[in-house]
Amino acid sequence: MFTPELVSYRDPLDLLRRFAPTPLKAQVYLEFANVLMETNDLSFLSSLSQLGVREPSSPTCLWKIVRDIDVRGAIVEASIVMAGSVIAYSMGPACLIGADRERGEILAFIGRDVDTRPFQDSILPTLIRLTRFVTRKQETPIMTPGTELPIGGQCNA
Amino acid sequence: MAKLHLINRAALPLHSDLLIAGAHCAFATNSEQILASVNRWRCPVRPRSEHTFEMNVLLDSSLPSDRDVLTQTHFRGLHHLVFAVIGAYELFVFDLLRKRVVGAVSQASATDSAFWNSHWLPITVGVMGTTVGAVPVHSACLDRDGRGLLIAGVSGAGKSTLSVALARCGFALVSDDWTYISKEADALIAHGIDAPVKLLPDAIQHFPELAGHTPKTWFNGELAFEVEPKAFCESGAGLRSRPHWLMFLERTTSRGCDFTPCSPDDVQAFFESSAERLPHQVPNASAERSAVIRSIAACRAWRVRTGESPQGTADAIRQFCESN
Repeated sequence: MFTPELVSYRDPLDLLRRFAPTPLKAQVYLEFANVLMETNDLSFLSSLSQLGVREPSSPTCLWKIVRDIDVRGAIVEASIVMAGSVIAYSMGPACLIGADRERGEILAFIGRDVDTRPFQDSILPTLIRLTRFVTRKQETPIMTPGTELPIGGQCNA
Repeated sequence: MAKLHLINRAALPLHSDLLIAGAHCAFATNSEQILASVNRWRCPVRPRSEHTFEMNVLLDSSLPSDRDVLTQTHFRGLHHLVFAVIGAYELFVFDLLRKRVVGAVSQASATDSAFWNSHWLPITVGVMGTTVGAVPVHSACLDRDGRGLLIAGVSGAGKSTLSVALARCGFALVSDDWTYISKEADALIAHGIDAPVKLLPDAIQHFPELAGHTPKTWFNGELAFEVEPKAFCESGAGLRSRPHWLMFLERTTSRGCDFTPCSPDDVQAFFESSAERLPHQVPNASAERSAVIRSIAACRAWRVRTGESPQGTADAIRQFCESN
């Protein structure tokens, strides 16, 4: 695995890791959107090769995916909060994803122990569903019939 | 089974206005218990303004309640979004751009007023405050006859211990660690949140009554006693004051307590460097915070080098304030 650059979060203070550098950039063409990906881990880019390359299309969505080397452990069952144009998608501290439809952004932290298999099996499909949401192809990506994700919990909408 | 929470404010039946450290929160929930838990912050209904943030909290009784807030809460942020996970399922997202906080909690959180009052609402103001004119600054604050004393210093300098000592010699404790500064009619107001005081384990040598308490591990991994202000402070806790004195605490091995004037540039540099970096997606927040810090820097400030005990330092500061 590519080892992300060690960064001081104390000076200046950045406890939330907002300013973790993401120097690696790639353009990915999905069937329904162009994705501009920024990350600090080459292995995420490698995983995208399975998606294949298709004709450029629009609109464009930013994926900013940070390998969070301070977080240990595996992903767990998903917990999702959706309000307006924002979705927060958590599989525990090892996988936090935020999607903002108005801004066309998907922002994620992936823990250090999440290797290629869970990324490709669980996280990448989620990123793609959220990209559909962000690019307005689906109103609520998680609830689409046929998705593999079982639905539970509460809804007050 | 994944837990999906679609949170629509219009469908949350219970609404209340809260005033937390000078920040106006338009709160909504589906739970009477949550509303009761945040009751101490309720204020009369007021119109929304640029100093208002929205907070929508859904109680999902099916969420497991076996979580520990202090050791199982995880925060991260990117751009304008901040995420917080408590245990495996409780999830909050703080949206700095839209000034909105949304979350889903378990029954355990809903009924735990200490969770809301000592932890979650203070954290929420810490995250959102800069966007709504309640700027968090890393300093303790005490009040004496309406005049505020800000005590700043690096972590571990002894701000909390000194704050308790000052509270025992005539000052009212506003805050022992983070103080929220707002501007009202061009005057600075320092706000506290009446949260428990955090004292490091070595404080027991100054306050023997801590022997009956057990230190806890906090969000940042630090081990500290958690003590209600009223347990220590004969003057009780005040929730606001007007900053008048500013002191930077430094420990030395030399006896005595020395006060040296401090320049506005040094004050500004300290508070700018001790503040959390803000994302460029909320440029107004950075600008407003810098403006507040410049106003703080206009207060009279001193560097306090002390080799005295907390009580001895508190006595020296009290005498100094009486003549300045």
